[in-house]
Amino acid sequence: MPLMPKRVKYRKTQRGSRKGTASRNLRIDFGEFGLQTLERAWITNTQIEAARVALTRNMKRKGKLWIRIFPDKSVTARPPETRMGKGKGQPEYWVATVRPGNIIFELDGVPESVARESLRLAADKLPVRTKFLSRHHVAA
Amino acid sequence: MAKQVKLSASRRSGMGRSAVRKIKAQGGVPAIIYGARQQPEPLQISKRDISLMFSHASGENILVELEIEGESGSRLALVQEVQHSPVGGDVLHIDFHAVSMDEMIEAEVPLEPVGTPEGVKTFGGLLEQALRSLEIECLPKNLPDVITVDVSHLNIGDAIHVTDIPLPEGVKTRVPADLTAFSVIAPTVEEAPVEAEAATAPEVITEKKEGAEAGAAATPAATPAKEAKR
Repeated sequence: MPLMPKRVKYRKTQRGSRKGTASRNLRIDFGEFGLQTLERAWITNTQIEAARVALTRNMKRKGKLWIRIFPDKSVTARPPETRMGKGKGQPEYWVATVRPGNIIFELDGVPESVARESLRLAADKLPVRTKFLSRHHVAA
Repeated sequence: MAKQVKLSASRRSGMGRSAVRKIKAQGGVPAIIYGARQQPEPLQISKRDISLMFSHASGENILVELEIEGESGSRLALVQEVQHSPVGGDVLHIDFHAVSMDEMIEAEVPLEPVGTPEGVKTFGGLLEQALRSLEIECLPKNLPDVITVDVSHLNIGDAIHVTDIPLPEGVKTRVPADLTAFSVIAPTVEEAPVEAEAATAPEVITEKKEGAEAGAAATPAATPAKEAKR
């Protein structure tokens, strides 16, 4: 089942702002390794799911994974070949807004080489440039 | 014990965004020193000195002998907070907390496990670290760089609590003793995703209210007509 909220107050949302850099969710809080985004984007629930599957497959179900973003924003779309007007389209998919600096995934319980490769595979499924982070290399 | 390093700094008069930009352009980093018996003083430090200081330390718990330009002696200070750029990781600002050698200080020291737990080696369990750092109280001379904990004897289901952590002499913790620091959990088996009953749309909270207000008869008739028009 793709990630989406269980209950929402309103089905359709406005686009909102993606300006600036991340001000929260920018440190490794749970695991040993993390994947940080270097760009701003809307990451869809299917992209998150594809990345998660790639990660867990490479980790061979060992270790622990934290998904630090959640797609809580609905994106609407109009059916093809429809005339303009007649109101806003229907919700098509859900996205999470990420800004440069946000941590997307965190891992623990696997060696660094496995974590690096797993997060590389996951990053290939995402629409943003990313950076591998390790808790030991964060303080610069 | 935490390393004591020497660092030279100079006072800065300019405050605010434009002054800080100028300092950064000159290769400096803004900082501040404050303490119990002194007024806060804004400082600036060379970026090179700071990166050297952090490259030789294992954490950010560093005791610094600050030599401020125009002062005869040096001041002892603890690195209280380091602000990093969210993307590049560059140091943006440093807080120094002035301390004295004979007064207790509070600090957060990283906790590090040593060894591979028995439960991980034999049964493929997972070592979970619930506590990454420990709040401690000690004299500056006793401040440890890192607190290491031997976890090699842990089996699946075993845990190490704060009370079990061996602390260096003169160091006291400030966290509840029954808090779990490390535990070994059984290997998790990922469940197959449930395809049936997959919700396609979330429940809308406000929809219920609208239905109740408009009346039961009018709403169902109006909605399909609207949908058909679209």
